[in-house]
Amino acid sequence: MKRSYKGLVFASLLAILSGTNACTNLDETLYNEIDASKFYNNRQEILSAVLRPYTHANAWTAPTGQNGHWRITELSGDQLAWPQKGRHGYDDAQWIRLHGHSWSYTENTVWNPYSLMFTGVGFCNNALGDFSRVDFAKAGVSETDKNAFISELRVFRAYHYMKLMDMYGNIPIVTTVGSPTSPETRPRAEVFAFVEKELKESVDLLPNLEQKYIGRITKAAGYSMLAELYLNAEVWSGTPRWDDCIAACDKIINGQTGGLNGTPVLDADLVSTYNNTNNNSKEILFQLVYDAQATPTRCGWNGDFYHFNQRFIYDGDGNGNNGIVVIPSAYDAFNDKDLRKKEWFLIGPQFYAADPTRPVLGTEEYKDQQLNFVKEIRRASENGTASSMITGEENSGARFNKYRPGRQSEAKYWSNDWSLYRLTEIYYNKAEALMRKNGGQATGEALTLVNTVRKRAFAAADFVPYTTASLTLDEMLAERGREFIFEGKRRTDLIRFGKFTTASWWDHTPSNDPNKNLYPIPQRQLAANPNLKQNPGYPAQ
Amino acid sequence: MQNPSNPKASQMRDLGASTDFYDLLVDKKNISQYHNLALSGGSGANSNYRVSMYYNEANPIAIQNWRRQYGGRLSVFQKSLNNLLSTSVNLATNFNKANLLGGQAGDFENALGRNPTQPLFDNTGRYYEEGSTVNPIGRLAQEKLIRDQQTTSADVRFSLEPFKGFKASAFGAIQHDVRNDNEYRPRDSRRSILESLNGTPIAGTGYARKYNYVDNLSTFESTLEYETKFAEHHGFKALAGYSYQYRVSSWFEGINSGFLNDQFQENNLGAGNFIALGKSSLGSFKEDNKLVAFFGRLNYDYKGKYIAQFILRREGSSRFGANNKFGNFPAASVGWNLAQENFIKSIQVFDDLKLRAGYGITGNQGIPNYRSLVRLGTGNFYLNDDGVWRQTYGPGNNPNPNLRWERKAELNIGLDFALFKGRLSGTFDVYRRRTSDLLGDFNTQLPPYIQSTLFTNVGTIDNNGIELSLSGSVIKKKDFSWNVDLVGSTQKNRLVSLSSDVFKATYLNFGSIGGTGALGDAIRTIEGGSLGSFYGKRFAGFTPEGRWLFYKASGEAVTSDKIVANEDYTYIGNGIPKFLVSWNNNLRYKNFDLTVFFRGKLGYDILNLQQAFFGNKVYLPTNVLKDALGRNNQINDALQYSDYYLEPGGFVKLDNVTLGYNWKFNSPVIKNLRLYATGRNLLTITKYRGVDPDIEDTGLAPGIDGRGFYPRTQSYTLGLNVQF
Repeated sequence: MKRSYKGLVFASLLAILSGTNACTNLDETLYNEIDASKFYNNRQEILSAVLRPYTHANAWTAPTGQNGHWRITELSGDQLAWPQKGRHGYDDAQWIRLHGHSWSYTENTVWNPYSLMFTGVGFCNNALGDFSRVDFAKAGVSETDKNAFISELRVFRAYHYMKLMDMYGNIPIVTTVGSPTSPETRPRAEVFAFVEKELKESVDLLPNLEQKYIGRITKAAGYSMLAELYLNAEVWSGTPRWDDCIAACDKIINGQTGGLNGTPVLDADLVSTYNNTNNNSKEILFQLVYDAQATPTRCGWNGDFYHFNQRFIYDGDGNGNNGIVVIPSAYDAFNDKDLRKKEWFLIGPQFYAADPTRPVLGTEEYKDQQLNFVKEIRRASENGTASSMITGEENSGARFNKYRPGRQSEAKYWSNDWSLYRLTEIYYNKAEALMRKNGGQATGEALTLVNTVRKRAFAAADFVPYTTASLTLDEMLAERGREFIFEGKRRTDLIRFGKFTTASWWDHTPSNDPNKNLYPIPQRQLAANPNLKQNPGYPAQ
Repeated sequence: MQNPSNPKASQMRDLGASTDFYDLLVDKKNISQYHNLALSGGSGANSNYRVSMYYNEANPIAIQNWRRQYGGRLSVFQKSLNNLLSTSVNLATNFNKANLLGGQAGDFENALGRNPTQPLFDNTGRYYEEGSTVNPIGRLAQEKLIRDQQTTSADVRFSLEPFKGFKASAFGAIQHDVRNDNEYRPRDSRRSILESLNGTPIAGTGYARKYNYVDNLSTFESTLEYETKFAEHHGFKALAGYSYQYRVSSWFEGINSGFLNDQFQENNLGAGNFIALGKSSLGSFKEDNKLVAFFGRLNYDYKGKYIAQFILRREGSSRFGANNKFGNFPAASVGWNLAQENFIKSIQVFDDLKLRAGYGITGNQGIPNYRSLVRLGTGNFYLNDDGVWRQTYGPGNNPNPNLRWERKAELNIGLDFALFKGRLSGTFDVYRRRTSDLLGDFNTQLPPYIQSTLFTNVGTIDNNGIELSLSGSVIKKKDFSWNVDLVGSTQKNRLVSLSSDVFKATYLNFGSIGGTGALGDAIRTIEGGSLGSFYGKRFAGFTPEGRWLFYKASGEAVTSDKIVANEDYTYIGNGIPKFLVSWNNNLRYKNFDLTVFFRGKLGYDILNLQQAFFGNKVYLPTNVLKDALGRNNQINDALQYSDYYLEPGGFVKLDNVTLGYNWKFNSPVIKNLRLYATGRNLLTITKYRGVDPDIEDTGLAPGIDGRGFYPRTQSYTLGLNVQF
């Protein structure tokens, strides 16, 4: 009796234990993220992965508050700077080092663009890798669409590599996620060849630019990239490619790559390319699209540019860190009759947009006094006369006004797209290539191309066309500076004209060190990947 | 008041009033109370119950910050099946309402930084506002943020002892936690006027938010235990078990603006027109994880003299990579009870003397869920070719299928002793801990990976230390006694390595300083270095104009723009105390009792960020500390982080004094009555010049005294215990 009782107890306990033994399944379930193996079932899902690198590009190609290609290359050039303004803007001297070309390979201003751009490469690689396992026909995607999607990702990836090559020169080339580990540094010329091959193999599979492809990489964008690649070929690969540059420009100018009206045309004024309805611009060839009404996102340039009370100036809602201002010599580079000087900068006493008689007040040195932006970067409140990276105050420097958000009450308030390529650049690229081919002398066609654009910037009575005598290469660089100010292109231009490390401007003395034409490979990556090689002139480890 | 020779005069405007914003944030009547009532009964050891209920009102030092909670607990114990089966059941619930609007360190920082000549109200009777900032007093008066929380738990344990020495137990529990946040910013509130929702200005149309959070934790554990003795002196005890834990959390949030008036507050979210504008916010989230374990334990003792224990745990966590979910964690310890040995007995000094040694490995799975998987997440909206804006999707992380358990191996040797008939007792422990396969989000190769960090196992940390505690009875008389407890410990941390076979890093940064000036990270840990080390510039003096001078690596003193990050930075201090000590005294005289408790931390540095920001004139027109024009008056330069702001942090505190009086009654109604008064944080002895040297000193970013200026408090408690 006693034994059977014991047996019963053991048996029932065993049953309990064995029942629980089944509970060893530790597989995870995702609820608010997606398991990649269950994705890409239809065209919309596939497209959502094609478009991921675009929303990421917001972080590095536009001035949206991160250390992207835009910010770092602009702040090391001769037009824009982030000077210290009293207690603000010293920021551990990182902006001063950018301005003085004394960056260190350990700092974030060097690391962040590398990281942001290679993450963009990763998004392209990931989608391309996933697509190789997707049955497009089953997902209802045509062969043309499939090829266009894959070409779009390859061209976009090439764009990332081109900008990485622009900043860092010698970098690894990786086209699949996670493989190979420890990829090796490839020389700049090889990166150039890779970018060229990728672009050439894919651009003609892209659709022409038309209304429904606004914001996307089309043939117009692809040939713009080729034009940029060939214009800088001498710097990037060692071999000039002026004719290839001209050919790429001609494709666009002749309408073979499409446009909103079939063929791109210059916008008639200096505002509509940048305002909050600039998605209608016939000039833009490739832009990041934004719609602050349809989405929660806008192109957030306010953090870098806007004063602490700037919202009142626009009757908007965006203030900023009172950071980036125009270097006085860059402001002076505009003729007073140049309408770009009036339209693209904010300067002078500031008033409420909603009440034009009410002054906008300062918050720092000019607290409770009217905010009055001045060209100079001096501590006028303390009677200071020095103009340097450490002598700014809250109203120092002319301000960014090329892109304006509009007033809060406007239907498309702050829905401005950010232009990456526009027809003017293609005109100027072709003009420059023609001049370079011609020993630095402007040809008749080069003059026509530049004058056609420049006419827009002057009242008819004030316009003095360039002549062969006046449009020198130096003048071409100056004119590019005026036309493309704030567009993230200045450092590349300065390097192509041999000025980046040799010229002086404002508080910058030249290093005369050609190694400074490249940024260093960031220390974080040198530490993580033993196969990376540092650029010349920088610490190897 | 303005000195015309002061170049900063224009930034020190006199607005005519005199307002102590900081003082206005302090709740002057912050009395807290706690009431507890417990009943117990039953029929002795075979069946009993206990019921308790409590009410608690907590009022911290800040206005618009309180918590009121009440709850109860019911416990029932019963034996059945001829006393072979015991069952215990616990039910507990807590209803908790809290005002979360106030009490943020940022409020105090904001208040302290305001121009003290600024009035609280402007001449139209509204809160005085300037530019785009928010008056903290106004915000606390205008807005509402209330949390309703309910926590319920239930557990049951069955223990079956069918025959002597054998016991089977099963335990099951659930815990259910629900939080409901209610937030409203009225139409004329400052932030409702100033801020945007999803990129669209709220423009004074009110802001309403509801947030619900639900968390469920289910636990099951079963064990079998058997205890026996062989050959009289060999005692064995064996235990085998299985445990299972499942946690699932989710939340839902809705935010809307565009309300006609303030009538609905957050109670009719749909009424705001931001929904029609497509600018309201909806969000939800869910995650879960599982933790299971099989475990066994074997205890052996011989005559109570020699003791040994072996443990093996096999634990599995859903958070790790597919092939690494399980880990094995063994432990063993031995003890020698020397007091039982004749050669010790013969000395007649020791009442207790025991030598212990143990070695064991434990696992850590305290990481976020899903870190081993490829997860595609939303990447913001982009325009599709049909003209519709849709979410984009891409990988938000680098997947790591090799993610595995972090392991901590600990070797511990200890001695327990009691001397002189228990008048002096104590323990002494020496330990070595080595944590390997450290889990973290570490720097990785980019490319070929997509993101710059990978959640992985990298590195080893050593932590070695000594702990000593002594308890003594100094005086022991009929009417008077004095007992003393002394505890002291010291430890050393070192980051042994930061590399695995694939991933390599040379240092990790912690302790982001934040705020104006982008001062970077305060702390860096390198391979071979100590945890919690401050890393930065070395102060070398000032130029005649008041510009900072720092030492370069070469020893040359230069202005800050000549300092190269990293190359000229070095270790300038450490935030982890080398010694922790405490001293407790219990005195009793007749019916009085007195506790006096001192506590100290010694041998560490504090980074005084209050001085770094509010102690520099350049921080004007934000209000600054007197020190800006006093001990730091020489500075006429940017905000900087350097060893200039490191101060010795050691302190000794009188932490607790309690005086009590006990009445013993022979009455059948009241058995016992005790009245007591307690004071906490009464006195601090320190060289530190900041608010309080007792700051966070563990973890990876210790020793940083932030800018927050949250007031440190002394508290006094009056208590009454009655036992019926």
